[in-house]
Parts: sequence; structure tokens; C-alpha cells
Amino acid sequence: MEQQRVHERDRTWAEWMRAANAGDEIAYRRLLEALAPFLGQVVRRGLRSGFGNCDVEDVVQETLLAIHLKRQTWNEREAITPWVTAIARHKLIDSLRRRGRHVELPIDDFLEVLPAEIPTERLSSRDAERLLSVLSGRQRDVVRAISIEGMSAREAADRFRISEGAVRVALHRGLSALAVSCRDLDQ
Amino acid sequence: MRTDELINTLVADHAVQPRPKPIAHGLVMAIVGGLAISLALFSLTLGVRPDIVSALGTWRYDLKLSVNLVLVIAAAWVALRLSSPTTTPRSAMRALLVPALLLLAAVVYELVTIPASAWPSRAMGVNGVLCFASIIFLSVLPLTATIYALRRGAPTSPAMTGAVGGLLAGGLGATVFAMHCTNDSPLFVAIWYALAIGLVSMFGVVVGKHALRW
Repeated sequence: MEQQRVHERDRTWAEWMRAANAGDEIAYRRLLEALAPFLGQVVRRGLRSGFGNCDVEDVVQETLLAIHLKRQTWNEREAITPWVTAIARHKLIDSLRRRGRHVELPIDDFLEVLPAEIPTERLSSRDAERLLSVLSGRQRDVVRAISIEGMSAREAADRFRISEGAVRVALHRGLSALAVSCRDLDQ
Repeated sequence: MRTDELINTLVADHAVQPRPKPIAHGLVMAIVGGLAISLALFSLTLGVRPDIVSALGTWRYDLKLSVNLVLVIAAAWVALRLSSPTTTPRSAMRALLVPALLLLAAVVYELVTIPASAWPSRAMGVNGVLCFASIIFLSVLPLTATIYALRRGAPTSPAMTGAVGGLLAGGLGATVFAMHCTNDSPLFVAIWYALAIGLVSMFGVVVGKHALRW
């Protein structure tokens, strides 16, 4: 029964990701919103196995960012949960290692996790402004406008008087730079 | 930062390019581009051996070329598999046995069919050091292109992926150099080509450790 639920859930997620690949923005949002609490559980479970400590939401956010930037590595014909958990595992290990631990996490531990409702607001320990401070001027403005102020690319383009294409380039480069700097921020 | 803010951002970025090109696409471009640049450098410096037409008909020459081409294909295949976060490196590496066993079989055949007194001269060839240096020279740009393409992957082991990228680039450099080189004995290939490709692979480890982290 539980296995069946896990299987059903994987099919739904894979379907959303395929739809997202075909250009469906709403499906992509649904997927990421469903993954966030799941990843929180995966990370907490990984930490409970007795390995160190770190801010769960930091790792969740790094994992979401990595899922986004590496989504070309998921094969549409394969299950998506093992791919997602492999990325979470990599990010968790990376995060613990930065705190000077050598860790080996058994991958099987992660696969059976079921999502539960997470009551609290999901907030990482990292201050958004501090995180954004690693970006250069234009990238920082664009990422802030879209992430924190919730603007669309069009609105951001109007505000900064640049083309929508330039907004998108700045956003994408900004996200890649954030992924790199996350590694160094904790040190 | 709040997670829903991050999700907003990712969704906005997703709209730009819903389906990013597969890594295989970039890797093929890197191979074609790297090969083209190496060939250009090659024709400017070393050039094709004068007896290439007659050499093409001999098993030793054909084997030398094939081993390197098979290495390129096997390494590209393995590098692609290693670029997925769900791959376990050990099982993915097996394809590399194909070029290795091919060369091993040729070495055994050569040892059996030529007299032992001829082994040292076959193994040392005419100019092993030139061969070694040229392969490395011809592999540098393919290695750069390969690592760049692999940066879009998510390997669990950046160092190992870098090593395989180095084998790919070394194989490309060696394939190009093989058109100049007149030492066709498998013994020569197993020593000098392997040394050079091995060193390029080590470069791959060093570069990959940093460049392929994610």
C-alpha cells in the first residue's frame, strides 16, 4: 500500500516534469512545490541517520536550485524520485562536508520517504540579501525583483528598462552564480 | 530566503528554456569542434604521413586507428552515463574495457607473431617522445571542450568524470596523431599512446575535480 503510494506519487511527478519540459509552467511550479516538503523529509531523515547537523531548509533550497539547473540530466523514461533523491543526497553530503565531516549516506534510506504536511513556514537560515550580495548589480536587481517581489520577467524588464531577453539572461546567470556561491557561504 | 520565493524564481527561469538541450548534444559538439581544431593544428604542424594510402591497408595501422576511435566512443558513452546523479560509477566504467581488451588482444597477437628479438625495436619505435608530446598537444583543446560540455551534467564523482573526459580527449588527440605517426606496432601504441592518453586523463581529473563540481 505504502509502496503503491510511492509509485503513484512518482508517476505524478514524472508527468509534471514531462509537461514542464514541454513548456507547461504551471506543472513545473506544482512539481517544485510538491518537492519542497518531500526534500525536507529526505534531508531530515538523512540527518537523523546520525550524521552531523545543518539547516534543513538550506539544503532543500540548494537541492531545488540544483534540480532546476541540472534538469537536463533526468531521463524522461525513468522514475523521477531516485533522481531527485540522488541530487538531495549529493547536496546534503556536500553541505555536511563543508562542515568538515566525511560522510557516506546509504541511498536506499531515501527512497521510501512519504511526504507529510510541514506546518512551519519554509525559510532558510540564509538571509536573502546576504545571498544576493554575491551577485553583480544587474543580476542582483533582476533576481531580487523576480524572487522576492514576485515580478514577471516583463515587469522586471519595464522597471529596469532593459529587454525581456536581457532579464532572462541576467536571471539565469544569477541563478548559476547562486548555486556556486552557496558552497562558499557557510565557510 | 523563503523557499516559495526561490520557487518563483526557478519557475520564471524555466519559462526561458523549458527543455534544456541534453548533455549528449553538447558533448557531440565538443567532440566535433575539438576534432576540427586538432585537425587544423595537426595539418599546420605535423601533417599526414607520406605513405598513408598504403598504410591504410595494413592491419596494424587500421588497428591503431580503431583502438583510438573505439576509446573515443566508449569514453563518450561512459562520460554521459557518469553525468547522471543516479549512476553508480563502477558499472558505468565497464564500457572502457572494450578498447582496452582490443589493444590487449593486438599486443598478444604481435608478441606471438614476431620474434622476441624484434620486440624492443617495435616497442620503442622511431620517436616515442615526439608521439607522447604530440598527443598531449593535440588533446588540450578537445579536453577543454569536453570538460566544458560535461559541466552541464550532475556527476556524483567529478574526479572520475574528469578522468573519463580526459580519456575521450586523449583518444581524439591520438586519433589525429595516428595519421602522422609511422609506428604502427601494437606494442608501440600500448606504451607511448597509452602513456600520453593516461596523462591527459590525469589532467582531466585535476580539472574535473573543480570544474565538474556542482
